[in-house]
Amino acid sequence: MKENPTNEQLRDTMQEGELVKDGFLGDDQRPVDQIVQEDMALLTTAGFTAERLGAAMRALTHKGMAGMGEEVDAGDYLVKAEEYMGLIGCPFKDNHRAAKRNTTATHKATGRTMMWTDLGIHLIQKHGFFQGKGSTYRLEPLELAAFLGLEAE
Amino acid sequence: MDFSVILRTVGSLALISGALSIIISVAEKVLNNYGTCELDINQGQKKLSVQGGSSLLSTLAAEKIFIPSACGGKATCGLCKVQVLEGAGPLLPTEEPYISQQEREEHMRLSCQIKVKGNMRLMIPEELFNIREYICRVESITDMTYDIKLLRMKLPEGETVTFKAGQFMQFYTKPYGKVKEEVFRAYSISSKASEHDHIELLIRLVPGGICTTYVHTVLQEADQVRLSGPYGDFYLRGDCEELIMIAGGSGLAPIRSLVYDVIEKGLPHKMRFFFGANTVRDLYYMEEFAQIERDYPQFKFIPCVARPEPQDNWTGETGFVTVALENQVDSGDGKEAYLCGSPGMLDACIKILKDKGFTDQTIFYDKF
Repeated sequence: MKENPTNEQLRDTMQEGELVKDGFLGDDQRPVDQIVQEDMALLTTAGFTAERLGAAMRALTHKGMAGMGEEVDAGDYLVKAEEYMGLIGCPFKDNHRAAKRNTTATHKATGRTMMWTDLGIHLIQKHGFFQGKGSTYRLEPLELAAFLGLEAE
Repeated sequence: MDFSVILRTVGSLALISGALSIIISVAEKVLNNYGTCELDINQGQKKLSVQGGSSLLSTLAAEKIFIPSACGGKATCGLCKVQVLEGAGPLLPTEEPYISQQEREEHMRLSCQIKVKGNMRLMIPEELFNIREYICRVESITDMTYDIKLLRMKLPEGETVTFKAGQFMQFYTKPYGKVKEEVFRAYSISSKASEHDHIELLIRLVPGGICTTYVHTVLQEADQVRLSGPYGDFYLRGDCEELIMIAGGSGLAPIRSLVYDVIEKGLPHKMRFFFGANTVRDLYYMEEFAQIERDYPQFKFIPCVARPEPQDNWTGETGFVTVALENQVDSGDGKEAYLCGSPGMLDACIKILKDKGFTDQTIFYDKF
């Protein structure tokens, strides 16, 4: 039976220079499970699930992939998915390997832009982890839900 | 409460926690001390006495036996498989995605994941014993595009490297900034296989990438770097009349080496090289490949730019490399395809090639 990594192990794996140069935690001092719990509480109270957010992000990324690095028109958004060679493993050690792909989505009406990685989608969808405050790819849950145009349920 | 009681209580607690720390520390050392372990390689052909406690991958590397790995021991590439007949313990969850049922029956394991905790019996292909470590000097670092650098490295005086065009090397970074440990990644060799005293690598900056950031922001000319290799089975088969070569970005590296190999060996194959770029500023080696095309009629260079700007005055193929491939390659008859690039580009190209009759036996690529 696979054991979940402890908070301490997760913090080690998510530090700068471990899996990625800038790490996943930024200047957030909270334990990883606390970051997850607090973000998920916000999200749930507002009527959203991490699964829905992840699915919507993935759908935009898939639209962007058609452009093979070029920006594509994806309805309400302009989406660019840039790929690099190689794969990156999930810091939660769940055997997930993500392509090294960065998605930049711009909402046409508002001009707002958000950026995420394939690993970032997985972290949100499967682990409810939006990354630590101050980290390069941190996404605020409710801002992300609004950006994706999701209705509360 | 009396102040002295508080002091005594705090003191007692400090003593207890100190004693517990010592016990934990000693226990860790005892429990993780696997002592000297014997590694029997290839049924007694090679026997090693090693200190237990590290991964099999790093233990073998310390003994100068280099197992291919593109991800630096993070269990994301699956390249570092080794047959372990005894002493590896049960398959770990981190290995499961990479080890097929047949490989389980053959006792294949990911050497980056299993620890040396006792005596082991291993089978290692003979060719891996030819893989060596090189301490090279960075002779030059050249900007090929805004995000791709060419590293030209000189081997130590008197040392040589022999590789098959298309193979890769592992490049080791030194600790820098917040990166506390050495990290290694795989990069295809772009230089000619006939050049035995230099190695060239093309390295594209990956946002957040530990190794590529090191190369792009820390590494300087005249620095010493550590390489090991050559590795990989991406090399010319040549059981065909024509080679279809497809690359994007730094994926040009092994293709350049392959093109020169065919030419220098005087092989009869026709070659068509489709090089995909998003913009004109993503193109490089243009004059060099144009010159090869002029000198060798068997070679045709087809750069494809997805989004040229009017001021670029671009006269080549416009659109994705997949469009040119679709339009210009009629069938897989008598052809082999060699691809290197991002996973999305590879997937799209492989689909087109298979629709045209190429098979898994005639399509070759490294997907790391």
